[in-house]
Amino acid sequence: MEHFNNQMVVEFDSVSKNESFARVVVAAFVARLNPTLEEIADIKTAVSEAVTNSIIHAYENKDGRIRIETHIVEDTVTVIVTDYGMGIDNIEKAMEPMYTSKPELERSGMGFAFMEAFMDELFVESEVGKGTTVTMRKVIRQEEGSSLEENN
Amino acid sequence: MKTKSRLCEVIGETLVVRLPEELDHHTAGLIKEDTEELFLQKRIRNVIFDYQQTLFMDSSGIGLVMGRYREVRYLNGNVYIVGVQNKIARILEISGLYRVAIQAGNIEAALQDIQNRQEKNKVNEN
Repeated sequence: MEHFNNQMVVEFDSVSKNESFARVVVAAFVARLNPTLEEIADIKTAVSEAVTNSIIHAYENKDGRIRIETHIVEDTVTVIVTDYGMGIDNIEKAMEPMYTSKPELERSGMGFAFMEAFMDELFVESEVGKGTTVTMRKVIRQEEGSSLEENN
Repeated sequence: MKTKSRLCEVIGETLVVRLPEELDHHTAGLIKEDTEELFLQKRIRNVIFDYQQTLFMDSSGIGLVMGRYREVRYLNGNVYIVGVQNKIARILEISGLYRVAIQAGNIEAALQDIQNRQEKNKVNEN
């Protein structure tokens, strides 16, 4: 089992085309820890949810920048998604499953619920008018050969 | 706009949507536009979402299915989820979509179920 510390930062424009870029770049960085395919899928979904929130809610599809910082410390991955948008007035309400401030856009209100379900830890900090930082953490089990076994 | 005809197809009163490999906010938005146009042009009572090609999905995919469900339920129609791959089976379970959508093996099975229901309704009317 290989353990090492490593980190990377990317920043990109807040446009929906970049959602796939964001989750793929984080997944590629984490791949060195030899995660299972399920763990990779979990991280990709969580990153996609956080970035989508920034695009739709923080910037309301207007211009903006999104920053993703990813740290690997031994077997733990920490992903920090930051935007400099409008911020969240009531974080508790925003995190309620099925709650969405944008039902007209067919948002399911499951974004934060999925981040919680697929990562081990989730912290949300926000200041109205300044922006939001979502910090997610996941321990990679690093099972030998598991990524091959689960390949369907 | 070739993608339009490739992803969406109307069979009778049923809209078949072949979902892309990655279903996120970006691709869900494109599909929603296509389906909205077809809903205006044609009478659509049922929607089949084919996940055969789909290997990634986030919560945007849930909003897409729920939105179509709201449109067809007034016509007593149904929404079907077919061809689900292992990779996204868990996210669909967690999503609660199976409370509103009917699960079927493939497009043909869903079309058969739609036909069976229509015949049953005809019998009940007589």
